[in-house]
Amino acid sequence: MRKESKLALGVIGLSTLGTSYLLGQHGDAVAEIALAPASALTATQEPSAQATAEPAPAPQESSTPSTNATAEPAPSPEQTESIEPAPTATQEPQATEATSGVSGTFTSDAVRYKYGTIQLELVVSNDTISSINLIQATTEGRGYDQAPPILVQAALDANGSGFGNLSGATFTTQAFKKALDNALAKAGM
Amino acid sequence: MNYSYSDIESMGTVFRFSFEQREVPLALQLLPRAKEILTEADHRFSTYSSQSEVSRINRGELKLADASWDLRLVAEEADLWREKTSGAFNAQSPAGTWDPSGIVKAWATQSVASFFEANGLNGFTINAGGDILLGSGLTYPKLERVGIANAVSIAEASSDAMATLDLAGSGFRAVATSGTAERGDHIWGAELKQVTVVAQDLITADVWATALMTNNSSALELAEREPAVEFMTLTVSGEKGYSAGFQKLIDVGQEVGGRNVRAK
Repeated sequence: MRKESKLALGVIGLSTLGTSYLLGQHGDAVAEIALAPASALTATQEPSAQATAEPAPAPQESSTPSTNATAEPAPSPEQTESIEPAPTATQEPQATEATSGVSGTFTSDAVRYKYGTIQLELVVSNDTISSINLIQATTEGRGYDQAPPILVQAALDANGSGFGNLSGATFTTQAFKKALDNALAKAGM
Repeated sequence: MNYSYSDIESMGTVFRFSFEQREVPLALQLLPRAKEILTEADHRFSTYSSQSEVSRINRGELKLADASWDLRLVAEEADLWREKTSGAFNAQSPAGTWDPSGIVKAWATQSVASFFEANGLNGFTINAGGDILLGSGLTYPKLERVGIANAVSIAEASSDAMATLDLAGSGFRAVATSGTAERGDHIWGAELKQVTVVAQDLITADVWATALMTNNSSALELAEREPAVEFMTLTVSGEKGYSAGFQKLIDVGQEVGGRNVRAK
C-alpha cells in the first residue's frame, strides 16, 4: 500500500476566479452563447478581430437549439446551468446579504475520503469569501483523477497565449465540496 | 471568432468543449447529447452514488454478466489495461472494491468524441478536467497546442504552462497528466510529481499516466516500448525526464532541456 503524505497547496483567490470569467482577458475576445438549458457556448476571437463579445446578459429562452442558432453573446456565467463553480464564487456573497458582516477565517473539519484527506480554510471578509486555502489534500492511490470543479475551472481558464487547452493533474472533488460546506456552516454562511 | 467553447460539469469535474467557428452550428445541435453521454456514464459508474451500477456490483446486488453493455465494455477495457500495464493500472481499489473511475472519464470523453466525429463534427477539443482530446479535423493552430500545467496543484496550475506541445501533424490526439500529492514514488531513485502522456486516444494516454504515477518502474519500460505513447516525467525536485519522442512535440521556442528517459 502506498504511503500517504501531505501537500500544502496554494491559495486560491475566489476573486481571481471571478475575474477569470471576465471574458476576453487573455487576448481572445469571448462571447457566450446560450444554447440549451444544459449548455452554453463561449466564443473566442483574437484581439484584432471585432469584439462582439461584450457581456450582454440576455439569456436565450428557447430550450431547443435550432440548426441555425446564432452566436448570441451572453457571457455571464450565471446563465449557464452547467457551470457550478460560477454560482459558488458569485452567489455566496449574495446569499449572506441578509446576514451582517461575517468576517474571519474558518477551518473545515478534515474530511476523509476514499483516497485521503482534504481540509480547507475559508477566509471571509464582510460576507464575502476572499480566499479558500487548502490546508491539506492527500491522495492515496488514484484519487487525483477528479478535481474540485471550482479549481478545475481556474485551470481551464488559465488560458495561455500559445495554447488552447492546459493539461494538468487534479484532485478529488466530493471531499472538497464537503469540506467547503463544513467551513461555510462554521462561518454561518 | 476563432473558436467557441462550452463548459459542462460532470463526473466531479469540468469538461470544456471547444469548437472551431465553422463547427458551431453543428456543435449547438450535438452538445445536448454530449452532456447526456457524460451524465449517463456518471450515473452508471459513480462510486459515490449508491444506486449506480458500480455500487450495486460492489454490494453484490448485480452480477457483471447482468450489467449494462457499457459497464461490461468498461470492465473489459479495464482488464485489458491491467494486463497491458502489468498491473500498474488496476480497477481494483486498495479497499478491494471494483472502481473503474480511473478509466471512465477518458472512456466517456472518447465516446463523446466518437459521437461528434460520426456526426461530421471534427474541429473540436475536449478538456476533461485537465485531460485533453483533439478532434481529427482541427485547422486552428492554437487548438492543436496543449499546455502542460506547471505543478501538481491545480491551484498553482493556473499560473502558466511549463511547456507547450504542438500536436499538429503528429498523429497524437490526446494528452493526459497525472500528479500526486503522495510521496514515496521512487522511480529511478526520484520521486515523481507529475507525468504527462501523449497518445492517439485519451484512454491510452490516461491509463499510462495513471500507471506511470504508480510505484512501478516496469510500467516505464512498458510505456517506452509502446510505439504511439510518449511521456514526460517531473520529479519533486523539478527534474524533467522524457521518452525518446516526446521532445520533438514540444512547441518551438518553448522550454526544452532535461534528459531523455531511459528505462533501466
